Amino acid sequence: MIARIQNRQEDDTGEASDAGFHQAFATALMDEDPAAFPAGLDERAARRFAIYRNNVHRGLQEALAAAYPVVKTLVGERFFYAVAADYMRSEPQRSPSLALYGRGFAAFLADNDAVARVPYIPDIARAERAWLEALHEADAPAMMVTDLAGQEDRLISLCFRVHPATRMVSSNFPIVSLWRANQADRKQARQVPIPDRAETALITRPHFQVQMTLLDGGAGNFASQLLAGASVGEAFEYALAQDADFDVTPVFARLLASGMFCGFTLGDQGF
Amino acid sequence: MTTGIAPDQDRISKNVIPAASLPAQAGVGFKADHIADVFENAEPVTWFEVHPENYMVSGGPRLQMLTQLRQNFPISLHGVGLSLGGGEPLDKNHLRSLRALVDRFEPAQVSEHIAWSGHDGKYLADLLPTPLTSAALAHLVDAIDEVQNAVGRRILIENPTSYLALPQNSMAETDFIIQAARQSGCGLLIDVNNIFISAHNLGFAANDYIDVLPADLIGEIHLAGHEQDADTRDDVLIDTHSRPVADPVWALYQRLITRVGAKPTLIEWDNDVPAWQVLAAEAAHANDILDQCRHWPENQSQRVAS
Ligand SMILES: [Fe+2]
Repeated sequence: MIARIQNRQEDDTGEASDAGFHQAFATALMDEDPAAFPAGLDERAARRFAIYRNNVHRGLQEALAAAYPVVKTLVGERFFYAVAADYMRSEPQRSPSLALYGRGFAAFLADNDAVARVPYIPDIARAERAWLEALHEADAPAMMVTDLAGQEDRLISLCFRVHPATRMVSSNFPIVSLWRANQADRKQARQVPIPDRAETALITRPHFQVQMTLLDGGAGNFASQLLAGASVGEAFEYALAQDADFDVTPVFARLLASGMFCGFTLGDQGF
Repeated sequence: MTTGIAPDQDRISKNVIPAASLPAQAGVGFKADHIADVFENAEPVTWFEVHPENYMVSGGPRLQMLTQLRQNFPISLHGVGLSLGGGEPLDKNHLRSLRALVDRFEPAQVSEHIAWSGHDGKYLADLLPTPLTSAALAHLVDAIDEVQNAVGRRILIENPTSYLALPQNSMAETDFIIQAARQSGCGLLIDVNNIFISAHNLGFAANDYIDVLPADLIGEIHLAGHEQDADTRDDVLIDTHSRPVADPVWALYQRLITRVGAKPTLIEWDNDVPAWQVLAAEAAHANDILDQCRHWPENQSQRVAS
């Protein structure tokens, strides 16, 4: 069946009004029926309307594919583009910049029945979204370990300012291992067995390059407290309460080296 | 998202002399894949064009790369998202983001398309056809005026690629674009490949279109490759920017600049992007034609005035 979108209105001059024209054209572009076209087109123009329709759909869906390459690899191209077509209709893009397209895609995937059979997919999407946000976040010099010279005696009182490009994603699934194994440039890593465990991804952007760091349970607990504004001492106590064997020294060194902070304060009990 | 520009520290002008205008030579669309070649030796390319939408982010490597590019070359900001031919008011956030990029990068040129790309606040990610009517013309002129006021400078508007003729069209596209420029005070970016494709798809003579374009309005020229549509029921050309410039498009280009004089000329190649050397060879070809036209100064000055 050919669907004609009836919405053309005539104004006083007999010309189609802008509102009617754009509305009918836009509606037909996003219609589920691939043969839909705005009323008034002759047969040839109606057929060629598909060129615009394809351009619009491809433009949005390729932007989503560029933002979620690992999700696309894990679910396969055919399924990915089918979901992308649903997504572009359910959550319309508002900005003409597609640099940050796909904000709600992880939640959209979590609501999809077919995706539910592979329960880690929405968490992979959250990690990819965090990566994209980190890529485009505001610039700020990252704090260096050397910036802490002279603070050795009051380390436990320090609180950190979080670098704008820092994100943390925790999952019940091995999201960092899965993410790494499915990078386009690490095909051989697919052979590496994926551990069955919860993983936390710390995403930072030192020297303008986004990187993902794997944090185990204790490191994740410690880092999440620092991100929330707790002092080193408070974060350490929290992590220790969850895991009596928590070894803070190497974790603290890794977090500092990751570029996740852009400064520090002495906290409220600084002395 | 609005780019957060710190008042002075990020302005390119601290390091780079603002480019008053683009050189009347070949430029190319900037691709991150070419960054190493571009900084090693960009010859014969002397300027670059980018879509501002790709840089409407708060910070990070993309903006850093554009900063480096601008420190070495004049750049042109060629928008795809203002939706000048749309049926609703312009997106004020988008205008602010564009203004922030103009302030920061001091481009030699700012341009947009005669097209619409969103409706009802939803972005449609394509350049859609503007009705060629007096009502649409009035709306377009107002939109251009608003943009020029928002960015504080004259812009260029680009002729569209057409796949179909809208039933309500009531004027020639050349009349429409020339009147839009004259009434708004903007200039024209003439995409010769678009004219070739539209002439083929709609059945008009490309030479006739080329020959009526006023020299004084043309601020830049685009050249690109096209492809035959996969749907073979219909003999239609698609503006894919995925191929070398076709011979008949080079011929139209030569015809245009022989009459209007040398103009900044961009090679657009956005899909199946080739190695830098292939793109540089296309730019060299454009420069050869530009040089030829410069060797006929009496011819040029006489015709530019017409
Ligand atoms: Fe163009």
